Amino acid sequence: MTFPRPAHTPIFSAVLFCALVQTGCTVEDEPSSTAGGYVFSRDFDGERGVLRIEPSHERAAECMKTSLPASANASWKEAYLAPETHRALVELLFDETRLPSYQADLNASKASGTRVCTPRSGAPDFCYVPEFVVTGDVPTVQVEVVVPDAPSRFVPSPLRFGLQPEVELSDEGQELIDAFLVAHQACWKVDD
Amino acid sequence: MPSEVKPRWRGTITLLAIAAVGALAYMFMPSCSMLADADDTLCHAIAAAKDGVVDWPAYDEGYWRGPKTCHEFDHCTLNPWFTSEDARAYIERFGIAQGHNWADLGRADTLSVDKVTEEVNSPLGRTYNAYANIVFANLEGIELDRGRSLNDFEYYDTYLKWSSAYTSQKTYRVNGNCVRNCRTVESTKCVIAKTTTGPFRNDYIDLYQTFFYGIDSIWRASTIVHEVRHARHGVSHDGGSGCQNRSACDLRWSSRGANTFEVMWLAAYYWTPENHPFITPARRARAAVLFGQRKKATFNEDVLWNLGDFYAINDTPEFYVEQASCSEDPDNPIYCLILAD
Repeated sequence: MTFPRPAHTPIFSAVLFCALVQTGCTVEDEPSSTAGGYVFSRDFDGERGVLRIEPSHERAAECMKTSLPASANASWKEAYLAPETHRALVELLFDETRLPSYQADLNASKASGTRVCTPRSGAPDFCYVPEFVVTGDVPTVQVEVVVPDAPSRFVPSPLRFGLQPEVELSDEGQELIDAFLVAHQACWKVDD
Repeated sequence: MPSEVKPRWRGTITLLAIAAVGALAYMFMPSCSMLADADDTLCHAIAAAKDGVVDWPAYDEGYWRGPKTCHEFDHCTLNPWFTSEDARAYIERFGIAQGHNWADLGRADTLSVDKVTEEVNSPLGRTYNAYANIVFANLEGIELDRGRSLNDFEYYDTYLKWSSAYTSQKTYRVNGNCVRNCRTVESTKCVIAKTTTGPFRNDYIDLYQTFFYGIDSIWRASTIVHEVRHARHGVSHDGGSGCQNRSACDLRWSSRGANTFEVMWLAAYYWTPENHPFITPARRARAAVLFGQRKKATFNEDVLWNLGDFYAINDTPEFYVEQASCSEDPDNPIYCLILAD
C-alpha cells in the first residue's frame, strides 16, 4: 500500500530550512576584554564610578556610574573631554616624580585599609574595598607578595589608593583622585 | 510510469536547490554582522603586498607607550617553535590547523622577522608566540600529552599542565581575522578576540588585529585561555557592563567564567620556578601586572584572591581547579571555599 505524497512537501522543507538558517544566525558572541586606554575606577560610599580615557592627544572618554554591587546592566556614557581636563589627568599619571607618593599610598592602603560590608535584605552581605584604582598601561608600583615559609617578594601592581577614613593619602594621590573626579563629572556633563 | 517519476524528480531538484541556497547562506554566516571596521590596517597591508612581501603593521603605539620590555617576548630566538617544526605542528593542534583565514593572513610568511627588532612579525607567528607561553611554561614542552582525561591530576600535576590540556581539548577552531574591530576609528579600545557559538553551525574563535599587534604575547596567551573557556564548556559572561572593562565582565570570581580561568592561568604562570628556562623575569613581571589589572578590571565584585594566595597552584592543581575557582560564592558557601577576609 502506498500513500500519496503531499504536494506541499518541498515548500514545507524550504520553510523549515530557512528557519534553521535563521536560527544558525542567532549567535552568541563572547568577546575577550578590550585593550587600550587608561581606566580610573573609584568604589566609594556604595557607588562605583569609572572613567576610561584614550592616550595622547585623543580625548575620547567613557564613563560609568552604578551602585555597588555593580549591576550587570550598568550604563556607560561616551564623551570628548576638554583638552585641559584630559591633559591634567594624563600628566598626573605619567609624572615619574609622583611615583614614590603613589607607592606610599599603595603601602598605606595595604597596611590599614578595611573592607566595607553592607547588609542586603534576603541576600548575603555584600563587601567591597573603598578604593581608587588605575589600570591599563600606566606606570606601576610594587606590591609585596607574602608567601608562607619563604621570603616575601615585590611584584608590579596597578596604582591603588585606599579611601577608608583610616588611610592617609599623599597630596599627590589626592590630586590624582581630584583630577579624576573633575574629569568624571565633566564626562557626564559633556554632550557626545 | 513516467508521469509518476517526473514529479518525484522535480521534488528532488527543488530540495537540492534549497540545500544549495542554504549551504551558501551557511558559508556567509560567520559574518552575520556585515560591518567591517574601517581601521583594518592589517587587511590593507595584506591587500597591498608587493611581489608577495607584506609590510606587516607595527605594534600599536598606544599600547607600547607602556611596558617596552614586552617587545622581547616576540623575539624569534626566545620562542622554541621558531627552530622546531615539531613544535609548530604541536601548536597547530590547539585549533589553528582547523582554523580559517591563516593562508590569507600569510601562513607562508610565518617565519618572517622584523630586521631591526628581530621580532616575529606575521599574525600566525605572533599567535604561535602566544601558544608558546602555554606550551613552554611546562618543562615537558611539546612532550606533554594533552589528550588525557582532565581529571588525571597524577599526570597533570601542575596547573599549567592541566591548563595546557584544557586549552587543547576544549577549544574550537581558531581563525585569524585581519579586522581591527575597534568600536570607533579614533578609539584604541579594541576587541582582542571573540568566541562565537550558535546552534547548527561550526563554532569558532576569532583572533583580531589587536591580538596580533596590540598586546604582548603573555596577554595573548591568557586571552586564549579566556576564549577557550567560552568554547566547548560554553561559559558566558554574566557581569554585563558592570566592571571597569565595560564588556566581557563576569559578575564575580565564583562565576568560574573566562576571566577566572584567565587570571588563574596568569597566577600559575607567575608561580613557576625562578630558574625556569622559558619564563624570564620580564615575562614573570608582566604576568604579575596582568594578574593585578585583569583581576581588578573584569569582575563586578571585588576578588579577594591575591597573587600570593596562588603560590601552591602548580603543586595542587586539583584544589585550584575544583575549589579555588568556585570560591567566594555568597550564594553557595557550603560547597565552595570562602576566603577569610
